[in-house]
Amino acid sequence: MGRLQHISAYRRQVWCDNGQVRQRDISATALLTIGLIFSTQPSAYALEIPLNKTKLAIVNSAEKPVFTRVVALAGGSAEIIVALGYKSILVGRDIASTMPRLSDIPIDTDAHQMAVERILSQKPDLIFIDKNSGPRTAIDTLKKAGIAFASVPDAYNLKNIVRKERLIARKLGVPEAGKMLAKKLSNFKHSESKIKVVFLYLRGNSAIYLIGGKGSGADSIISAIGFKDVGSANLKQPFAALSSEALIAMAPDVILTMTKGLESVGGISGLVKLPGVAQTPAGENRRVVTVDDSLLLSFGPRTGELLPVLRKSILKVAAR
Amino acid sequence: MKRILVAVIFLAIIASLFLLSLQTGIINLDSSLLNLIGKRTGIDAITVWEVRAPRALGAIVIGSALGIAGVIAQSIFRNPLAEPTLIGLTSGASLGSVVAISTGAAVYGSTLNALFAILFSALAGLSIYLLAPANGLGFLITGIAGSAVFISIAGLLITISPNPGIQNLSFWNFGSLAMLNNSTLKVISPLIAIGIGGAYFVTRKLDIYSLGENSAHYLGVNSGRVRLIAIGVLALLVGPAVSSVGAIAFLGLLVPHVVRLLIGPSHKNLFFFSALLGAALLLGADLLARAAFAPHEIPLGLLTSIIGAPVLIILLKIRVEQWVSND
Repeated sequence: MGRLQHISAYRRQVWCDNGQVRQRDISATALLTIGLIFSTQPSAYALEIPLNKTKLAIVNSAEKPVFTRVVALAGGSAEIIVALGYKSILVGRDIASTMPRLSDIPIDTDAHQMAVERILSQKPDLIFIDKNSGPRTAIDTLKKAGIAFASVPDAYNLKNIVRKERLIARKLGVPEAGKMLAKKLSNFKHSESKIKVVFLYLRGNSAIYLIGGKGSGADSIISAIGFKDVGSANLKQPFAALSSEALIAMAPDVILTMTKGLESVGGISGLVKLPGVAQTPAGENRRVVTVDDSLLLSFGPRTGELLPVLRKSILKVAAR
Repeated sequence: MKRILVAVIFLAIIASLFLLSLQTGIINLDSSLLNLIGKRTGIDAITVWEVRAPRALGAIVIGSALGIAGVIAQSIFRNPLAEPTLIGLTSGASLGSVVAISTGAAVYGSTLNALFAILFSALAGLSIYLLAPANGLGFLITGIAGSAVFISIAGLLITISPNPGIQNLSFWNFGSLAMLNNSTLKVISPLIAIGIGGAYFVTRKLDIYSLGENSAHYLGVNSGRVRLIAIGVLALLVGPAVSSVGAIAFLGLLVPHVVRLLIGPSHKNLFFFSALLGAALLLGADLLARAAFAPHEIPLGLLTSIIGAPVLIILLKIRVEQWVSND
């Protein structure tokens, strides 16, 4: 049961398209991220893409936003507002927005609940929320104070990121900035490659080893950079337990994991001891790419920066 | 005379804490409270009337309810350690609320949510009462075991529920008044008022009842029926509170003991003074929860547990020694 709970909690947190994000789960991501920022140990042999490998490129459309004091509580909305070039209007954010650049913006939640009085004290004119923002009673009270609300949908694939960026930009009255930002993601061009990649979700401490399938989130990233995601080609569900036969049949050339995940199984030497891994081309040749946990899952403006870096890394290890 | 003095002191404390509550917070009020009376717009008025006032009033309503619930629980089960949290009523109410919200039957702050909490609280209290062995310690242990079951089921429902409106698990373990607003307060107050009315009716029987079941019987009090009514009354006091602010442990344990020390054991007085002390304690605890780590606030239920649990241990030590020496 513990295992199932963990899986479902994880899926809600970041990957699942039906967006059952639970706010308390995000705190785990936040903790993980904080841990990551301070951990400098690279995983032995694996090619690691750390948090600082991607820079957030900020667009400049020179538009004047119609709102001047904005609280961004919807997942990822604070990051998007910064990328649109309007950090100056941001007066509050949610605890899950962990980008270092946001550290000077006050957090407006306590135990994942909106802190009404703190938000009121910042005198915002617009609050971005998503379906996990709450409680409803807090929203009702803030509406009575005349504050406008805008609801933002979740994004767990590239198409939705673009939609989310443009929606936030339109709401702020800066549609050109939205178009400029969205272009960065849609402009990414690449040639198709035959290299087969599999995403493994690993949590060694809880003995959780999963293969990412259709809808895992990683599938959209792998295919966006032109590789063949053998996980989603073979699995209809977002995640399935790692079985040696399934993995060997997929015969991935490269394994993609999250940095903390690989660490939790004891690095590459621990990874190849998991059932089936050593019998794949990827395991045999130690072809592993890891991405900072919060970066791989960010599904926002940094995703566009991650794509070329990740493509290059996968090509590099595939040549091993 | 002494009672009147104590009552006046309590009322004065409650009034001052209430006013202090209205003025304490992150936002420094530009205008005085008097100037804000009747105003509905502006940050100050919204802060005082939509955020702080429902909180402070809620602390008074819920504090009184939990104080009274403590008196009823201790008397009806003739157990000085009986308390809604320890005998499963609180976790039953939590479970009811979680069932309502996780299945989508009700949203937080609605009447239906409170009714679910009341129903489950009553069922929880009833099942523990029926399952528990007759002695005092056995009753408490059954209650604690039952609570663990209810909280676990609630945790399971929260984990598997697809409803993002379900509140954070910690809320159901350690309550907080932070979510209370005027509309929620309007939902729970009438229900708690019915509970307090019922409690007043029950306490009139309790002075007789505490003479012992045989004596009570000769004086015309049906002990089985009184117990059943009392469980219903307890659920009315605890359910709406838990459905709106989560679990606040030990208040019901602490309050009657302190009141007995101050004014003696008669239930009618206990009833009134426990309500006053419950209100004062909860108002004070809420202020502390908001001020201790400002601008962050800690769940109030943490504070009551940190203070209440050691008191329980002390009381338990005294009581168990008595129970053991009686055997």
